Amino acid sequence: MSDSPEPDLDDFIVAMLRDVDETPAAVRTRQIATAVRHLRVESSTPSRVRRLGVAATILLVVGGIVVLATNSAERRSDETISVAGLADGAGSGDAAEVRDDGSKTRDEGSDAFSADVSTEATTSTLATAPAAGAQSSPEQAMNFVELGEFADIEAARHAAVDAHSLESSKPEAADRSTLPSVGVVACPLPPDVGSPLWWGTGTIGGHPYVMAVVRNSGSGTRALVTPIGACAWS
Amino acid sequence: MSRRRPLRWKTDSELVSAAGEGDREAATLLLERHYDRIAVISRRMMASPTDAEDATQQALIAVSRGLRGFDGRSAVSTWIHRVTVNACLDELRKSARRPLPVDPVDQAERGASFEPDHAGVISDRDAIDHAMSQVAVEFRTAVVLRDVCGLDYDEIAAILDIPGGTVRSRISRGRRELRDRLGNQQGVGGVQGLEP
Repeated sequence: MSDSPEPDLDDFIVAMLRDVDETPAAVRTRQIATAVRHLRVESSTPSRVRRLGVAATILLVVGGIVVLATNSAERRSDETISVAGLADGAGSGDAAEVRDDGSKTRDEGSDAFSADVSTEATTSTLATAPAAGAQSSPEQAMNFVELGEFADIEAARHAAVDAHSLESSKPEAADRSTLPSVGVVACPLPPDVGSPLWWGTGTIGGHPYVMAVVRNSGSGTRALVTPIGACAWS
Repeated sequence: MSRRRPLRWKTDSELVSAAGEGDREAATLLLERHYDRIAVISRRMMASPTDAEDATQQALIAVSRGLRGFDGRSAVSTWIHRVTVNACLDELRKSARRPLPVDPVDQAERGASFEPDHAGVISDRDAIDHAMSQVAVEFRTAVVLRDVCGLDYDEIAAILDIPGGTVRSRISRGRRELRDRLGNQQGVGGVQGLEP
């Protein structure tokens, strides 16, 4: 680095550099007042306490978000149904034999029907209920059986009750909160099914069943049944 | 009973301490004391009076916000100079993203409050404004602190946090650039009295 002094600027240039217009008093006052408003004042709360407060707030917010996300995930988990299980599984209705392959026939005097164990069933044919109490695979056992499409909820309910001679426990439209509260059983509905409009409990061949009436995505209603015995008890 | 010393008699350090505890009157007085220095630095660092007003406001706000945390390791004036220079550099970065007029006369008309009665004065001011705006910012800063504010090399080094040799080098190069640019403007806009 050179030690020779740098040449000074001409006095005229320096004078021009220093010659700036004076700021109007009103502008000056406004600017200073604005700046003073940003003055940071020492808080009476000790900084350690403030830091703890901030940390606690962050934890609460994060925890709340986690809870909301968890609740949302649970609601989306395939529309599980909480139903009341029958205390003793006994009930009226015609006895019906259920075959291991899922097909089912009715006893004499009952209307014959068959059901496909499929969560995608949207046919208008009767389907065979899965083997109730036969310890079929959980997935199969928990599949609802499609009974068909009906004009309205009442028609679907009656069809379900009549077809299976099930007791109607809740004649009106229901959601989880209106289900009989004898235990809690979660039986997931098929993924293409909306929220249940109505459900009831009953027995088929002495095995407890739950059935649901749900709204079609288009129009009309669908009636579904599933064996309670294959569902998880709590 | 001892009399309380009037605020205006207090030193900068005392005003900073008082302001740091929330004394707004002390903060106001401190900013009043250093306003002209802040304004002239901003005016010579920025390309236009409008930008300079913005830079001045930002510098004042930065000083006010920093009063509570001022640790006294440097003189108050040194700290205020540093805050002002940094505020100007921030404003320069922001204004670099905006389109700038090429014609120095346009620049002056954007916000200038020049006296219109002496064409020579206006053109000299335009020339100085334009020439300064063309000097590289690190050299311009050194020239402003030395030739406009009259600070010594040690203080400039403390403000810019650079070695003393670098201060001299930047001042030298800044002055040379300013002269060159002023010299190139001779004959344009009626610049008078400026030697190459």
